[in-house]
Amino acid sequence: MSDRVAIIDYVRTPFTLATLPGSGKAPGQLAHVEPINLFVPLVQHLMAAHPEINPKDVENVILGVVSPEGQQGLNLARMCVLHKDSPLPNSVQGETLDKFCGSSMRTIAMAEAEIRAGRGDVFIAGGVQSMSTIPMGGRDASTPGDVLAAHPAGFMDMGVTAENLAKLYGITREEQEAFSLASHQKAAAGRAAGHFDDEIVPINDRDGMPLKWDDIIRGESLDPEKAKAMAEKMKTLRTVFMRQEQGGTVTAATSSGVADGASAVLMTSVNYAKAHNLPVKAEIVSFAGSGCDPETMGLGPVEATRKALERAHLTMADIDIVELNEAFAAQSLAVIKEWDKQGMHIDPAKINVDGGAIALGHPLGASGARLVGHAANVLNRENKRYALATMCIGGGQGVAMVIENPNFKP
Amino acid sequence: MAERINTVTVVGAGAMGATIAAQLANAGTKVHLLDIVPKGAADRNTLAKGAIAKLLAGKGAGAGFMTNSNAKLVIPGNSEDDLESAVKDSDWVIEVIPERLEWKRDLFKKIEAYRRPDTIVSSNTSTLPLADMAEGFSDSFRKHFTITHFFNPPRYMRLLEVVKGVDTDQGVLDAIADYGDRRMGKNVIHCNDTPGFIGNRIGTFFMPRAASEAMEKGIPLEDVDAVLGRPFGFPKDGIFGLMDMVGLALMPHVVGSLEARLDKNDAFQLLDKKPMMDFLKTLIDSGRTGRSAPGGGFYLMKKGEDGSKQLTVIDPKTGEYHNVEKKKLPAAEAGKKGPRAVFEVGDELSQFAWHVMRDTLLYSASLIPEISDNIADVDAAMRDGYNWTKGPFELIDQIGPQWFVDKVKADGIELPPVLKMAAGRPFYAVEDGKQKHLSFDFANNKAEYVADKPKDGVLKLSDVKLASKPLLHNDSASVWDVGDGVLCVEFHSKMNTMDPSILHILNESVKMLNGDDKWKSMVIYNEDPKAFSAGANLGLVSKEFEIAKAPVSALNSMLTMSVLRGMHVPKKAAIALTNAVGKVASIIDKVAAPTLGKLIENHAFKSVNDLVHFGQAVYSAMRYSQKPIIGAPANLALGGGCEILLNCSAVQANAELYQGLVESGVGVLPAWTGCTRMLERIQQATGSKVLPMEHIKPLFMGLMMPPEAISTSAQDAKKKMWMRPTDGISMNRDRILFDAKQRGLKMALNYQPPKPAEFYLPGPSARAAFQMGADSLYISGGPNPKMPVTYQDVRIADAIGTVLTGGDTYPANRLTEDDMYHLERENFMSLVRTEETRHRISTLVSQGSAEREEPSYVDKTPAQLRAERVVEPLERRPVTGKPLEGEEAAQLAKMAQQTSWMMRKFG
Repeated sequence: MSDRVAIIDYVRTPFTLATLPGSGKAPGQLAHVEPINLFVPLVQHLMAAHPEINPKDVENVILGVVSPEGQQGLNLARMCVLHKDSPLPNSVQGETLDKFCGSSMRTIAMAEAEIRAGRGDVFIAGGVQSMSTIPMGGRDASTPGDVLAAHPAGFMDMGVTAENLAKLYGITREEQEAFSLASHQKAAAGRAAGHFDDEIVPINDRDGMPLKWDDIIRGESLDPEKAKAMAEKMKTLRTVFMRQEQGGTVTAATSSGVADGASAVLMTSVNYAKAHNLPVKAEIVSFAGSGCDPETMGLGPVEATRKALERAHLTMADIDIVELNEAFAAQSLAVIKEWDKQGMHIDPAKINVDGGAIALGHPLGASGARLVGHAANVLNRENKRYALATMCIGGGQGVAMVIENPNFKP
Repeated sequence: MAERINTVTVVGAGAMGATIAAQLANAGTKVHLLDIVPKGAADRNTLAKGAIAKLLAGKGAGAGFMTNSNAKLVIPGNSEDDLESAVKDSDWVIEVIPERLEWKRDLFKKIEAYRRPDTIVSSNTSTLPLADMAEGFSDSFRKHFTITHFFNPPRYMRLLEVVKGVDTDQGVLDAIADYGDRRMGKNVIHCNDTPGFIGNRIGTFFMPRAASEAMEKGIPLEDVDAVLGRPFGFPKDGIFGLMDMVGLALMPHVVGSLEARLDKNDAFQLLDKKPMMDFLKTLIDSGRTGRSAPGGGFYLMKKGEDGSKQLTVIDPKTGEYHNVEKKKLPAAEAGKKGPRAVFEVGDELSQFAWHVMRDTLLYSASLIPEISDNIADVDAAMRDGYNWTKGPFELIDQIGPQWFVDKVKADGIELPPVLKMAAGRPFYAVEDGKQKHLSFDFANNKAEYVADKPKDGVLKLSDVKLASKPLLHNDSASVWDVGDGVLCVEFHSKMNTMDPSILHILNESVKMLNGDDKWKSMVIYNEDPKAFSAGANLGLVSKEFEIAKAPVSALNSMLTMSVLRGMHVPKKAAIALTNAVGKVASIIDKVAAPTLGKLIENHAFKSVNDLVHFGQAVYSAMRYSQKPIIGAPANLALGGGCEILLNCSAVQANAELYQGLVESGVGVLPAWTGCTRMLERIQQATGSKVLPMEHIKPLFMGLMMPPEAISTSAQDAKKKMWMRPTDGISMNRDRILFDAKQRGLKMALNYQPPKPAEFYLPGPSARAAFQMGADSLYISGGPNPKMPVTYQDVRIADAIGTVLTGGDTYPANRLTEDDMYHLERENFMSLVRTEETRHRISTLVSQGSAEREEPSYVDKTPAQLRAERVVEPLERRPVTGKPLEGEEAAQLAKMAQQTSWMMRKFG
């Protein structure tokens, strides 16, 4: 009898560019969809795909949302259970969690802990974020003055923390741009190869047509000529967060895109999966979170990864696949450098094989479950054993999770 | 009263047609905008749609719509598919297609078939005779047919020439005149059916007359424009600049059509236009058709590789462009003293100016009564259609009628009849408190002064002023009785900036209004063409701080200067002497500045603090007046001028209103109740007492980045909450005072002053969120690389953020207006205490624009920068909502006197 927890399935919506109302820009393709209606179709899909599971067995829906207010408020997870189209009975619990960008990876870790503690067999964990609906920081933005007094530079635009890392690690603008272009190329190639097909549940766009397309990925990056033009164009962009003459290097092209989207993972105990003949995509080996200085929040994955590996009794050398959230190119590159420094070297070819948030977009609360879920898919696709999913969190935190592919054949 | 005109069709979606359509939409009228279907066009309405899109993208003078939502009133179509339905739907059809008689007549034939019996049809032609266009059409068509000639751009140019045909119904003309005046805001001038009507007849004479002589004599074109611009009150573009702006290709067409149609003996026909026309042809043939052409026209703006710009001008002899340099031209310099001084210089340029102006003014005079029998209409047409400050007859008056006549005679030129009849008298005179002008009786060869009948619904303060004396008056403001128990406060300081003198008059006028039953209401209004009020007068504040820096030198130079000038020592000598004494003084200053300077500085802080409080008190007294006070602004209403309107019981504004709180530009925040009033407006608009950041943030951003927040029209001011939804808009600026007075009288019947506002604001954590936002903008430089967010902006943002979030409060706490005014004053003063703000203020005063900090970025953290803004706790000074009395009123009166003294002394 294993006491491990299994990831049975993972799905997400397409990730689409978000636009705030009144910004004057053409509204994003999913800007009109209420956050609840981004998540409920995922729940429907998961339950329909696994009829072996009696909906009554579902213990809890745990949902990660950043700024759970307005349309994202009112304990959205429970609202999803009560939604008119929900396949779940009223006996299923729902709870909502906000750990900024780490939210939905944390929901998976919570579900895992609950299952291991014997407080239920089946969980749905995931995240949702409509950045078109609720602006970053929320509608009633407020920063406790007493926190600001201690960390005056920790809560500005997150891009400023990326600039801090670029400076600290001597990461040039050219390196960042090359990283971003590669992210688009990998994502475009992944999309072309159908690597996202199984995970995307279509959502109806403004015209009522089912949308299955991540619209931030620059498909033209696969054409060498056009990629060259893209690279040239990137050079001309103005820095967004710090003036160029003050050494600013981070541009819109080297930052993750604001996006609308949701992601969901269906989890059971390994024993339940066996008993109900459920296919297992991955098993969770370990999880860790950690805190760091808010001014260099992008380094969060470093310590979180160290702890997660230690808890898994593994080293970086054992890891075959890494999903590292690309909040910013500078931030990702800094993490990789710091891993190196701390003896956690990893071959860059193993990182984000299908691109990352720079190309796909970063719908804050929904990104963590995508990293874990997609890592599980890649492990199976490439017949690899261990994957690490990790991300940084505004305010100075990191989370990391190690998963193992039970279908791996040496 | 039902409106006669509710739907209009405009045929022709070129620049003129589209902008006329936009102004119709601005008037709230539904418009069908039609143009032809271009060959092979996928979208048959592409021309009209393209024209609307272009209007929507336009900025500044190119912005035809007063607010973009007006575009919804313009329905694009094409003249092949939609003419019938559009014309059938319309009360008025305006033709704005190219100037080809046959094309126009073809169009009118189609329109005639579709029009309802009462549909008015007009042409916007500038050259074709009405008679030729209407010939052969049905009686009904001819009765309803007229020419409506708009000037470009139709939103801003106030002239609308309406031409009566032989058969045109008076009712039709009345309907057009009424709609054009009241709804479109135009000055409607009735013209005879003569070539070029009024404006172009004179304007088209003036330009070739000047250009040809200039080219013949080889006078540099930029010199011509320097003398035939500002000195005569013409637009500074002069002759060639104007042609460049209008587009050179138009000129041969306009000149040609006048040549074809005017009498052979008309002075225009006798004019030698060849030098200009030949050169125009050269330019046009080479594609240099004016300002919008890449090759320029007479002028060409050359751009350097580094983005620098250099204006160049062509030398007609060589065809080469050379840089336009600043020159000292005696004739143009003399123009500052008026046109006559230009003629008195006597050099070549001066003589040239005389020839041109002499002939133009004589030509204008010779056209009475052919083009109009009313000289006031002719003057108005040139003012409102060509942006002349004075029309030709007003110019003759300004030059001196007898002087002009004598000089013309000395040139051996015969005088036209009206100048003979005027017999040396001015064309305009005030008699019995009324503005009158000469009217000519050609049959009996005599002229006498008559007053034109005032239009219904038009009340001009200038007329009131001719007929009465002010009830209260000082250098900066006056109070007038405008009849029916209504008082009018007029500002007349420079750009109508708010100073202690204006506050004093306002305070006293509120007492007057509420102290006597005979007064029902009060209007705040003036007829300055540029500004209702450009804001607070910062010169006085700046002066004191300037003195504080080097007190002995400054006081010494002032005293020495005034004593010497009092002794009639010539200015130059006085300056030299004063400078000499100043050298000694500066040595003393080094010792004295720390003590004496500090004393003066402290006094300056005290004066500023008092002034902020007095402004709050007086504005508040207006707000709580027992009788309604109506703000009646036009054009600029900025800063303190905006705040006064926010405290009025209601506003009746001109359609062209550029209102906003721009204080952050000079390093301060709106402290004459501006922040408080805007928070209250947000409360009212959202209906929520506790304001979340989502609602406060746009106000914060607007106050930090004023350019985007200034309204581009009164309609836009409503969207931006500077005006209330219930406030009124007068499209025609001549009607504001009358409309405002009526509004005041109506409100007075049942008036209740507003209830005091109270606020529940989010406090320090919300302020911290604003700080974060401002810090990010500072670190990144902000959205506009040309005007980066500076380190001082971090402090200004902190001050504004503190006020808007209520200081050290929490949503559970109730804040009164008094609490808010105190916050405004305390935070305003904290900014005045910073060097950077004082530098912005002093450069605004000395150079006309506030100089921002250079470099914008310093080696300090935002938190350190904020810590340098010292908020000294100030004594609470209750704002009672009643006019200032006793000691405070006396203090304000004294400050007003000092203001007058200083303004007279130092300007």
